[in-house]
Amino acid sequence: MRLSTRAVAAAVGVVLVGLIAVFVLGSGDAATSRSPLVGRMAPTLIGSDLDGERIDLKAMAGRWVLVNFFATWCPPCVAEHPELVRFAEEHAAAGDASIVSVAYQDTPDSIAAFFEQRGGDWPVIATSAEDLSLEWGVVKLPESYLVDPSGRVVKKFVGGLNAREIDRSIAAAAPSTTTTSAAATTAGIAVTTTTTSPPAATAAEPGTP
Amino acid sequence: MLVALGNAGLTFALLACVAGVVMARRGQRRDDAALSASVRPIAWLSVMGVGIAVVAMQIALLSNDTSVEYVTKHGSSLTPFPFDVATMWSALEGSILMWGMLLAIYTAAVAVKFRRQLHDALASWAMIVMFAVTAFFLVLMLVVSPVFRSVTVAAGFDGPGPNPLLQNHILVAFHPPMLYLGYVGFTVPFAFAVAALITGRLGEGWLTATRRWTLFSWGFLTAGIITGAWWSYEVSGWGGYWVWDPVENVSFIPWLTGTAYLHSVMVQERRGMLRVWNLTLVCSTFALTILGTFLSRSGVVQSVHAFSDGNIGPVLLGFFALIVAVCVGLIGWRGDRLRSPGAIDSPMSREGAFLANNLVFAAFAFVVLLGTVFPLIVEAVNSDRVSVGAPFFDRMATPIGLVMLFLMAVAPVLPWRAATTELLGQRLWWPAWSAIGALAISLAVGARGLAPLLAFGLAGFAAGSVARQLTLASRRHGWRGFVGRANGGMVVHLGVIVIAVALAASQSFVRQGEFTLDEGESARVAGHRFTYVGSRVVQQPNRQETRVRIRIDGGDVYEPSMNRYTMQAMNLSRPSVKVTPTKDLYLNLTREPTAEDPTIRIRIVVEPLILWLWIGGTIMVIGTALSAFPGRRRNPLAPVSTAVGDGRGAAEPAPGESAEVAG
Amino acid sequence: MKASIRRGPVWVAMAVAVVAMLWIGARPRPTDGVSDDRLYAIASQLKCLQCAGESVAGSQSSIAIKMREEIRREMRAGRSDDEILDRFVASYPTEVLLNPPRSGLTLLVWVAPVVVVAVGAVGVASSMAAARRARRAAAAHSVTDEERELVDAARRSEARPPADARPDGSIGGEGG
Repeated sequence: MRLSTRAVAAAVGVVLVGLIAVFVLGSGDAATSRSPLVGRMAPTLIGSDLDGERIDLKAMAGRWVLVNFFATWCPPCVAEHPELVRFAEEHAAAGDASIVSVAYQDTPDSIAAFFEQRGGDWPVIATSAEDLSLEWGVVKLPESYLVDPSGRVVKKFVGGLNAREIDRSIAAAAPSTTTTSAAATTAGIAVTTTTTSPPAATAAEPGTP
Repeated sequence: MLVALGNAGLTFALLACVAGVVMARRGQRRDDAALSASVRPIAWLSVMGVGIAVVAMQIALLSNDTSVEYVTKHGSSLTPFPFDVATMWSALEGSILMWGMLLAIYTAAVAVKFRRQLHDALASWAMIVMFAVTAFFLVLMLVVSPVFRSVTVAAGFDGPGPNPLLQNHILVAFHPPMLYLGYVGFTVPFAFAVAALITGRLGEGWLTATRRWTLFSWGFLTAGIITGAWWSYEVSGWGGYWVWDPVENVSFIPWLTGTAYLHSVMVQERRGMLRVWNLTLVCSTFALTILGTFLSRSGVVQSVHAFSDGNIGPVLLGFFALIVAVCVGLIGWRGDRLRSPGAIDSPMSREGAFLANNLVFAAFAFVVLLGTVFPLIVEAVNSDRVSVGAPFFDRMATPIGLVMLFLMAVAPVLPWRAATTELLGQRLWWPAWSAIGALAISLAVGARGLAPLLAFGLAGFAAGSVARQLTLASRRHGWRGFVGRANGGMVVHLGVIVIAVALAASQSFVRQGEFTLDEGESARVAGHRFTYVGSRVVQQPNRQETRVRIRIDGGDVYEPSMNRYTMQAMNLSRPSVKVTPTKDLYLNLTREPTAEDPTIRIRIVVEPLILWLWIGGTIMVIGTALSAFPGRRRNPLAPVSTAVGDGRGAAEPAPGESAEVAG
Repeated sequence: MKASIRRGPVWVAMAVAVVAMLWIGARPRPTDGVSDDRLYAIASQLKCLQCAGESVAGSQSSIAIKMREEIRREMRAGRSDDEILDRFVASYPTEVLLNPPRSGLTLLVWVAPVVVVAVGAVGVASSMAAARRARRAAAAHSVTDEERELVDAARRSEARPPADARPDGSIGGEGG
């Protein structure tokens, strides 16, 4: 009871002002979550495409790979598809980058129809032994991971993509991959997850198709 | 038309509130009793204004008037009664309208209750605060996030109706109004606390004046929280009733500080101590209701209950900051008048126990608040994201709950000032046996685990203490032994103990499983057999229900269903529960049968003692009503504390039963 | 007080009985084996990242169903609770854990409540001790008739006006 009332009141005031500051700072657009995969070697990505051909991410080492989780029933995935087609076409000649798509809760028929109708001829994993979406930490669709030529994940994209953005990310990460692996790791960690557009608007919740 | 009517009503109410502030202040300045008394009719005018708005909204919702934007967004012609009435509090703007309505009613009620004292500076300032807070909410409804906005839609347009989660159970019609009655009611003690600080009359007068108001609000908040838990149990789909969701937490934090206040106020009334603390509790309880409103309505926290965000967030945050600034400023300014005249002599005394109680409740409130806002703090510091969820809160709440049970056992037998070991030994004799009995019974029925056993044992201890107090009191005073603050409080304790036992049992001994069943197949959980015997489809105006029939133990058939809300294209399962006094058998359909796949998927949860959560809640509410009932009261003007520092004052209660029962 | 003297040994016996019963009854939750109960206990530690404020145990969203299946697979593979949780932390952000990690900044949320309770308890105890010291000092000072007269006068005046008009602190003064 000896504590001065004023001191107590002041302390309470300071704490609450701090609290309010937190709300003011925190009530902006929430930062997207980091993926623990960024900066690490990519998890295994092995599966079969529509024709039963085996697809293995490891076999693609030496070039950039964009691992794209999507579903034919997810509107934002449909929306981003033309950008993926553009990216694939631009890099087809140089052969320095390619795409692997992973279908999420989908049927072979609708996947085939989807690519038939909207273009694109890159490999699509339709079935796999492991649950790839859990291995890769997929939350909402579409989500994509940029894997560098050494097999390291350098960036996670949440929501719809555009081809320029992927190129910029490759350019940003490229110098470090040519130097030592230690430097690559640091650069990889520094590159964090970004959202290309507001996630709420573009990312659909995978539900029942 | 209804938009104009609603806005006119709200504007009228706002003008009335402003007039109320002006008249009350002028009455004080000019020392004119007639001016001061005029706030009573003014308060009624503001009730009338908001009432017109509420009626306009209800007419709009019931007649599905699509010229009102709120109806087009949240209403629907297909929403059945009473959910169309409840639509008013199913979304952000409408819930603020209900808040404003209740606040206006509370303001008028205060004006009526204190009609003879309205010229008294204390009551007059309290009215000013009430009017000002009401005016704030009216401005919210008129300007910041307008409730009534006209909109033109194509002919034949029908709104989506309220969120299906809010149409799935009848409790939605009761839970929010009760919660709000509690929430909003804390404005009254806050108004009197501020008035006491402004006038400098910091004696016990404002406390006695508002004690019953606080009790009333607290009772409704309790009922609101319990019905909220019940509702969430009935719709959750997995037997959960309290998941420490941010929106649940923000209703629980003011409950904790309010409970702390209801206890510590007795120390101030009796001994004149803890004045700053009590003011702090009253102010924080009110401030926390506003903070809670901010958190649940601004979208800063993720929650199942959160309303969509709008521009209302910053305004509510600003209002919260203002309240904190005013309270801190006033308490700091009046600091010298708040010095306590007495001191606590011994920790082994009633006031010592109340102090411990307050420490525990304050710590609990702190833990819940910290856990709720911690993800925001982390994000502000290093833009990382973390979750603070149910496992954290459960871990923290378990020791706190056990200490509370212990205090509930010991505190009621402690005399004021100081207790002796012999006295304690004598009074705790039967409660201790009750604890041993409870522990032995728990072991005998197969309960295992340290925390639940401690909970059951301490619950027995506390229940023994309650039984002792109520027996002694009723032996002495007959039926009056159950009314009044001390005895009614014991009934509330009994309700808390029942809830504590039910919580410990249902959390620790839940059994569950999820099964895929074809027609005729059975699943077994915790020794019960669940057989899938068939399904049928029922068409309701707003949804299509696929009901599956599950026979339990070869007897009764229960029908959990999957409800498809056509307007929102949303599937929502509706659990079916077999309720028994010892356990609930909770059935929830997670996949309905279809033409391609006739099997169903069903989640079965067997949870012990769930029924007792609701019974305990009912006992708590009954106890609250009993303690608001006038017990044997001492003359309010008689000095209750002798403030002489030597502990040998004239008003020292004789150690014994009389001191305990009185009060 | 005869009764309470005889009750002494009974109290001791009661305490022993309580400890014995708790000892017998205290059995930790099994952390191995495959059971639905263990499955949901683990799932309730994980946040459903697709949902607003639900755990993997409660949600019926596709990610929660997948994660529950994964937990079952991991249980069958004989993994411990921590290993199973770590498996999810490896691919999902820390946010997936409903229990904030006890390291780094989030350690604060675990420590702060303990610190607050400790500070509160020490504060209350020390103010009580200070009050006791002050009282002893006051008792040592013998009260004169004049002072007693003053106190009586003050009490008489206190009894008359309404309680809230009492000039606070004027009697006990610094006694607290």
